[in-house]
Amino acid sequence: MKKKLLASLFVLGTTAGAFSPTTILATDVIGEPTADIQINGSLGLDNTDPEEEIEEGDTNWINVTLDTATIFYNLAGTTSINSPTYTIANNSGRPVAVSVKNFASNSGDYSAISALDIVSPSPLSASRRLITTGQLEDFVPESSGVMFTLANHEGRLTATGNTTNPSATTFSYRGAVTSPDVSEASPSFTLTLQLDAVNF
Amino acid sequence: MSTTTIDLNGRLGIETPALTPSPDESPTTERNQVARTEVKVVQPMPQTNDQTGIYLSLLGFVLIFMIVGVWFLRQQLDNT
Repeated sequence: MKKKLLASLFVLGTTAGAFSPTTILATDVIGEPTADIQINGSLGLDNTDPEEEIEEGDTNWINVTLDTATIFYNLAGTTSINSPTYTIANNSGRPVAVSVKNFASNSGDYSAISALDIVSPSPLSASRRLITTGQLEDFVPESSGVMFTLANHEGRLTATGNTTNPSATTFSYRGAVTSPDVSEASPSFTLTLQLDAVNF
Repeated sequence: MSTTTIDLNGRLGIETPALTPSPDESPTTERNQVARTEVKVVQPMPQTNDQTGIYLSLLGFVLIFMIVGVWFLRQQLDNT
């Protein structure tokens, strides 16, 4: 009796197994005018995750925090221009290349400025000249090149690179005026930075 | 490519060392984050009329059924 039961179970199992492969054999479309494609959507992706399925170089990788209201100053009796220190940090899962896209005057007289630079200290050690002898530098088209590249928030510049690269840096303004007794003035400018996600 | 703007206000020839930024000059932070929508296509599975698999499976089933049947009959004959 036990042998009969075992034999019956074996036959039933083999019969079920014979038909199961039909559900996974789906590779070619032959002689059919239509084909269904399964589409799985992913919403609310996290661009701080380097493994996220976002297209390389896409703007959606950009996730940067920076100071957007800044000042510089020159004391009467001196020729130097100084400023507080500001920060820019990359929160993205991809490195971000930062470049100056445009620098424009909003108001005020800046003819007394002989030089004005935006400076990022070591280890990135980058700078761009914004004003030369009272004239604004021309950044259009984007000819300044990449000023510096911030690593992703893990400190990586490449997918397999080390995690010791800076993902944040500081910047400030340095420069000079033509003489120590320039007239008091309050020029105002808008600096436009270009942010590009770097492919891993 | 993404762009962001920074306001830069200068003070030239100031008489007092008023180095502390006034409230309207104080740095503020802007979180340059873009809402994201992404569609991912994973493992497309087109329709097919390929019947090779089912024929092979049925052949295997018949062979196994024959082997088991022979074995079962031999056991029955041995018991009698």
